[in-house]
Amino acid sequence: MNVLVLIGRIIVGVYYLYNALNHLVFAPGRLAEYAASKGVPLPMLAVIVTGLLLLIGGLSILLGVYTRVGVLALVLFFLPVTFWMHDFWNVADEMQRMVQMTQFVKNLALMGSALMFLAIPEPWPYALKLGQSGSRG
Amino acid sequence: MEVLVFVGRMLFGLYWLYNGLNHLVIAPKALAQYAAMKKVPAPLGMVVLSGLLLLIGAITILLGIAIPVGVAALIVFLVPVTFWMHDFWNVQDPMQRMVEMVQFTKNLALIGATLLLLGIPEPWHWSLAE
Repeated sequence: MNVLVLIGRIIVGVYYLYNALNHLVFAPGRLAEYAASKGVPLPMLAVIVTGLLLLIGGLSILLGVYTRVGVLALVLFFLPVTFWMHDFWNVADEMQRMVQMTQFVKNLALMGSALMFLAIPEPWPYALKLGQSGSRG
Repeated sequence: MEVLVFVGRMLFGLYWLYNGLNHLVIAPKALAQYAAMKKVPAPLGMVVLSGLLLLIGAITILLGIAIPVGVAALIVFLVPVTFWMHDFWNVQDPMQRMVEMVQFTKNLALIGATLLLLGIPEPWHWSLAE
């Protein structure tokens, strides 16, 4: 069971890390353009701040350290991004509206899952032991 | 902390319930058409079958019972659906390709998140198993 949890953790951690790198390295300019088209104020800064939140969330889950901080970062990412960027109720085109609604509910599900990670007792199995003697877990 | 976990559980569970109902009640025909377009064999049967898997996942998470069964159901749903329905690598149109790639990676994240639920000790708080 612990191995399945570890596999899940790596997938989730890498997912957020991949999105963080997208925000910070691969495509900040394009994402800022997209954010600007959605009326986000200071779009480039918003892309970088959300990228840092994703980075904190991704690293904490991947390494299994400071997971509460990581979950908080992800919730702070998801709340504004989901409601601002995937506001399907404001989309006129029916096809586009469905795409955005799928993103909206999927983001809520991912945010819900992040909150559920708070119930996994620390230290997480196979977590990086940071500032610990190694006697725990 | 327990309240936050419960809120997360409701969000996660209701997401699967919503999709289960979408498959079984709200839009089985539209989804079967979409599946047929993606060359799924016996599309309506597959939509109903995947709807039942979603329903099992939703009920176990919402009620907090038989979690490993629910996780198994969701993984059996997510793995084929993600690779068959969101095969962005086969999509020509660049816009559509990006949409499918986002769906693909988000589904992978949902697979990972679902597996992580196995790390929560049972019985879950505020569950029928308590």
